[in-house]
Formats: sequence, structure tokens, C-alpha cells
Amino acid sequence: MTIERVLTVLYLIGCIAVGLIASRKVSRSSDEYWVAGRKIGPVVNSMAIMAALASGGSIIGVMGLAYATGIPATLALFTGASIGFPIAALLVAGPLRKFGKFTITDFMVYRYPHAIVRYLVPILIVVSFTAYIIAQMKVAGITANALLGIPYDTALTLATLVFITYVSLGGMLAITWTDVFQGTLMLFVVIGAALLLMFRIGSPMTIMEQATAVAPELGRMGTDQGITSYLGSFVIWASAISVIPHIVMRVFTAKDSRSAKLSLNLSMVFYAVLILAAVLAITPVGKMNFPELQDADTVFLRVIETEFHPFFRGIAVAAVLAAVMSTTDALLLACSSAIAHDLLGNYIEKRLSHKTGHWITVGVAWAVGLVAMSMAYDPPALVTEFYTIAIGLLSAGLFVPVIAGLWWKKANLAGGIASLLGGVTTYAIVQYTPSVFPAGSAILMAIPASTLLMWIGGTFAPSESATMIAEITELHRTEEA
Amino acid sequence: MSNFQKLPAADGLYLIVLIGFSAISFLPFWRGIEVAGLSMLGWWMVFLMVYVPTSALIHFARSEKKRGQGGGKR
Repeated sequence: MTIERVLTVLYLIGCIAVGLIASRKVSRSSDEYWVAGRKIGPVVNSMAIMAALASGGSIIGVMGLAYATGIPATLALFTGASIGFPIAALLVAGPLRKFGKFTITDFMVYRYPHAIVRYLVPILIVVSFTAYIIAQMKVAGITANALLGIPYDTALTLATLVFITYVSLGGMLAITWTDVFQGTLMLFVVIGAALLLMFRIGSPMTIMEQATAVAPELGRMGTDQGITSYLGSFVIWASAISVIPHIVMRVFTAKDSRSAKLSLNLSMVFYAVLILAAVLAITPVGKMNFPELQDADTVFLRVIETEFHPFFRGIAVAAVLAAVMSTTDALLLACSSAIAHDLLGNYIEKRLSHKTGHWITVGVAWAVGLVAMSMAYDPPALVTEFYTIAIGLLSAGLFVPVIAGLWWKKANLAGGIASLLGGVTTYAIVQYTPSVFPAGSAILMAIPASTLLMWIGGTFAPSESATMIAEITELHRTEEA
Repeated sequence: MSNFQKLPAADGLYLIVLIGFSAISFLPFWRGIEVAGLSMLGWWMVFLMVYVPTSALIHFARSEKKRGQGGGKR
């Protein structure tokens, strides 16, 4: 395991070095720290978006999910994300980029200025993203354990300390630089592994035929999952891309609205290739070779361990850690921004020096990372399923208020608050009463409830001020001009 | 008029096509059909994962070209 360990250590040292170099630039201003000075071009940004979304969940989790629940269920979830990109590009990228702040909370608080929105949105982000981070940390732990022979807890601790260090030091600039490299590495390993397997066995159709002959459940719709489960995970991701903070923050880093839209569209191409390679080539081979895995999330690791040369295994460990880190760093920054910028931003700006504020931000990143790490010592079973439920909470609360706030003139304070609260409450009630509602139905009820409440508020409560309406109209006009 | 800005017709049409294709995915009639061991729902999702990124880029390029022809306002 020497080669694998050397490659992994080199990679981790490189990540910290990037954080240190970036920290010299970003400590100068909040704009530099949170949104990399808004200077990121479309190709770099698209790779960074892909890397941020294509998490440990997309490399390890997608194959684990396909292994455990079948390929149709898995593709339903990830196709939802793929459709979410054009929805985000058409409906939110342009006007939000023109809005020109740092976070999705900034927009929500501006559009619906109320304490409930100011405090509830960051809390929702922290809660759901902590779950997302825990899932990523499990992936880091099982990967290092399986391919490097390091105990799960030790691997988890080491990986967490590395990415907290470079995020807290380097902010969005460090994340962008590392994400581009990490995204490239992920594509190389997953596509490379898929192509090698196809070279040995045959086309995806041949691989699929062989695998489903041994394990027919791989290609079938699961018997214990209704269509609502498929539709639910599809809708969660289709709606999430427009509102999940670590993707929206990337929109804010773009040079302009055209660049933001192009970045989203390009990233989707990379993302789709990655998922299809994982699901159509690697998972079926894993199912054929290891039909009885205890932990389905380890299927990719088993395939890599048995089918490839140690050098490729070393690269693969780095790629999986890259996938984990490129998402976790973005999540960590979004969580950190939810607390340091959205909740404490006014206090820090008014009462503390810029330098003190910067160190509080660094401290918050450490606190969030360490809390998530402590929870990840007892990890969830299927990572993708686990964090999809958490992301559903954000989609349920934010999708309708954000889209209506940008596009519907009648969207007002009452409608915004009712829509946010109604979406979150409905989702929580349905999700946590599985004996009453079918699996996956929470988002299918939450979004209509949120829409209805927005409509009632917008129709019957006082309309927004002329100034607000003029300003939002301007976001679209500027976009058009 | 209660919209801030009317969504351009081409963008609206493209969104309707995406929603239509998504709705087709969940129709009941092809859930039992399998090709090469994978249900048709799975193959349709594979098609969408290829079609959506490709069509989105083409749609973006066309919109940009149209804007450019409109006087290069950007």
C-alpha cells in the first residue's frame, strides 16, 4: 500500500498548500473570501460546480445506491439533478448573479425582510448541510480504510483536519483552485475505470446483460419502493440545484450572468458523464463480482481494489478524497457563511475589525467541521439516500420563495414567510411519519403546499413596496440589456 | 401583468419540453418492459442524462447568438 499512501499524502499536502497561498489573497476582503472576487470564468467555474455537486456521494454513493436499490432508482435521483441545472440556468442564475451578494440567505432576507427568514434560512442550511457533510466524511473514512488500510476513525479525523484547514484559510478562492483539480481527477478515475472495464468485458449493454443475468434486481424497479419514491428523489434534486447554497455561491463567483449560465450548463455535461460511467459500467461489474456486500457504499472500492494496479488505486483514493473534499469544502464554506455572514454578519461588520471578523469566520468553519466529524464516527447506512433527505428540506423551504421572489410580482412578505414555513413544516411532518405517507412523498407534498401558501399570501396580503418591485424588475432588465 | 419579466418564449418552451420529458419518465406503461436487463424507465433516464446537457448547451448557444444578432447589447 506504499504507492497509494505516498500519492494520497502528496495530494493532501497539495490541498493545504493551496489554502495557504489563497489565504494571502482572500484575507483582504469579504468579497474575496466568500465569492473569490467574482472573477471566475465559465470553464473553471463549471468544473468547480461539477466538483462541488459530484461529491463522495456521486462517486461512492451513486454506486452504493445503485447496488442496493437498483439502477432505475439511482438514475431517477441523479437525472433530477441533471434537469435541475437548466432550470437554475434559466430561472435563477442571471437575476441572482445581478443581485450580486454572497449567499441565498442574502436574497431571501432582502426579498422577505423578516426575522423568521433571517434566522430560519441559515439554521436550515446548517442543519441540512451538516447531514450532507457527515455523509461525505463517511466516504472519506471507508475509502482510506479499504484502500489504504487506515482505521476508519483515524482516516476520518485526518481527512477532516486537512479540508477544514484549507477552507478556513483560503475561502472560496482555495476551493475553486482545488475543485478544478479535484473535478479533473474524479473524471479521470471514474471514466478511466469505466473505459478499462468496458475494454475487458464489452459495451455497457453487454455489461448490463451479464450483470442482470446474475442479479436481475439491479435493472428492475425495486419492489419495496413505490413510484413516489422515484419521483420524490427526482423532484428533490430537480428543485435543489436552484437553491442549494454551495451551488448558488458559485453563481455569485461568476464574472457576469452569461458566465453564470454557461457555467451551470457546462458543469451538467461533466456531471452526466461521470454518473453514467459509474452506473452503467462500474456498478454492474461490482454487482457481478461482489453480490453480497455488507456495506453497499464500498462497491467501487472493492472493484478498484481487485481490478486495478496499485498506482491506479492510489490515484483512485486521491480522486475519492477529492470528491469528498470538493463537496465538503463547499458545504463547509456555505455553513460557515450561514453563521458568520448570515447570522452574525451585521454584528461583525458594525462592532469588530475586519481582521477579527475574518478570524471568527475561520473559527466557525472549524466548529462546523468538528461537530460534523464527531457525528460521522457513527455513520449512516447509504450516504446518498441520507443526504438527499436533508437536501429535500432545503428544497421544500426555499424553492418556491426564491423562484416566486424573482419572477412573481405579487410575491410578498406574507407569502414568502408562509411559503418558507409551510414547505419546511409539511416536509418534516410527512418525512417523519413514514407509517402514514409513502416513502419519497414529502417533497411531493411540500412544494405544492409551499406554492399554495405563496399564492394565498401574494393574492390576499398587502403587496410589496414600489421600490422593491422596481429593484427586482431592474435585475431582469439589466439581465436582458 | 404579475410577472417581473416575461420568460422568453424559447426558454419557456424549453422548460415545458423538459417538464414533459420528465413526466413521461414516470408513466406506468413501461415500468415492466426491460431491455438488456434494465427497465425502460432506466433507459429513459439514461437518454435524459444525455439529452438534457446537450440540449441545454445548444439552447444557450442559440440564445446567445440571437442576442448577438439583436445588436450585441451585452
